[in-house]
Amino acid sequence: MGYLVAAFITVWLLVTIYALFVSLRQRKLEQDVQMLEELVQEKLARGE
Amino acid sequence: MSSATLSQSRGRPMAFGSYFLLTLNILAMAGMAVFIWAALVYAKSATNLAGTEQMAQRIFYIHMGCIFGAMAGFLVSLIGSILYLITRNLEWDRITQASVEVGTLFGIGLTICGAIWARPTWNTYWTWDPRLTTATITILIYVAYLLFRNGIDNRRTRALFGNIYALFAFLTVPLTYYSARWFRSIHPVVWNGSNAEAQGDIGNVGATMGQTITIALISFTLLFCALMIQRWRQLRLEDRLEELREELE
Repeated sequence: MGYLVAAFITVWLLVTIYALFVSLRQRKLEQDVQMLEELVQEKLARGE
Repeated sequence: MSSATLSQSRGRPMAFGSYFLLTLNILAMAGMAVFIWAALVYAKSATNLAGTEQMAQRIFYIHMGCIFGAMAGFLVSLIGSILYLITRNLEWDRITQASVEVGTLFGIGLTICGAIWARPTWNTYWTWDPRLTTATITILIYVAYLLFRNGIDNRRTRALFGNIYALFAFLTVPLTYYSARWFRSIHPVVWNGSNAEAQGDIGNVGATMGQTITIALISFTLLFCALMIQRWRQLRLEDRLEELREELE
C-alpha cells in the first residue's frame, strides 16, 4: 500500500507544483505586460 | 492569448480561448478524478500476484498515464519543430517548448513512479537496465533542451537552435521504446511483445484493467493538453513582454 500511495503522491505533487508555477508566473506576466503597455501608450501620446 | 488574458485582468468579458481553456481544465480535472477511481477501485487486482506486489501493481496505471503524457509531449514537440523549421513561425517554437516542458514533467513522473514500483517487484529501486537507461537519457536530453535554449538571448537564434535540437532529441524516444525489444531487458514489453524474453502484452489483460488503461490514456492526454496550452499561452505573453521592453528602449 505504501508504494502505491508514494507513487500516486509523487506524480500529483509534480503536476501540482508545475501548475502552480505556471499560474503564479501567468499573474506576474499579465501585470508586467499591462504596465508596459501603459508606458508605451504614454510614450506614444508624448510623441516620442 | 495575451489579448484574452489581458482583457480578463481589465474586467472585460473572457475571450473564446479562455472559455476553451477553462473547459479543458475542468475536463482534465474530471478525467483525473475518474482515473483515480478506476486505478484504485474499479480495476480488479492481478490474480497472479499477492500481497505488496499485488497492491503495487496498481502503480502500472499511473505509470502508463505518465507514459501517454510524455509521449504526447515529445510527439507534439517533434511536429512543432518540423513545422517551425519549415515556416519559421514563432508560434510553432512556443508549441515545441511548451510540449517539451510538459512531456519532460511526465517523463520525470514515470521514472519516479517506475522506480517506486520496481522496489516491491524487482527488489531494487534502480538498475541500469537498457529500458531504464534509455528512458533516463531521453529525459536528460529534454532537460538539456530547456536549459540550453534559455541561455540564448536572440529570440530567432533561440528558436532555430531549440527546434533543431528538439528534432534530433526525438530520436531517443523510439530508442527507448525499442530498447526492451532489442536488448535483453528486465523491463517487460507492453505493446505487441514479440520478444520471447519479455512478457506483459497489454492485449492479454483483463477487461477492467484494459478499460482503466483506456481511461488513463484519455485523462492523461487531457491533462497534457490543458497544461501544454496554458504554458503555450504563457510563452506568447512572455514574447509580448519582450517586444514591449524592446519598444520602450
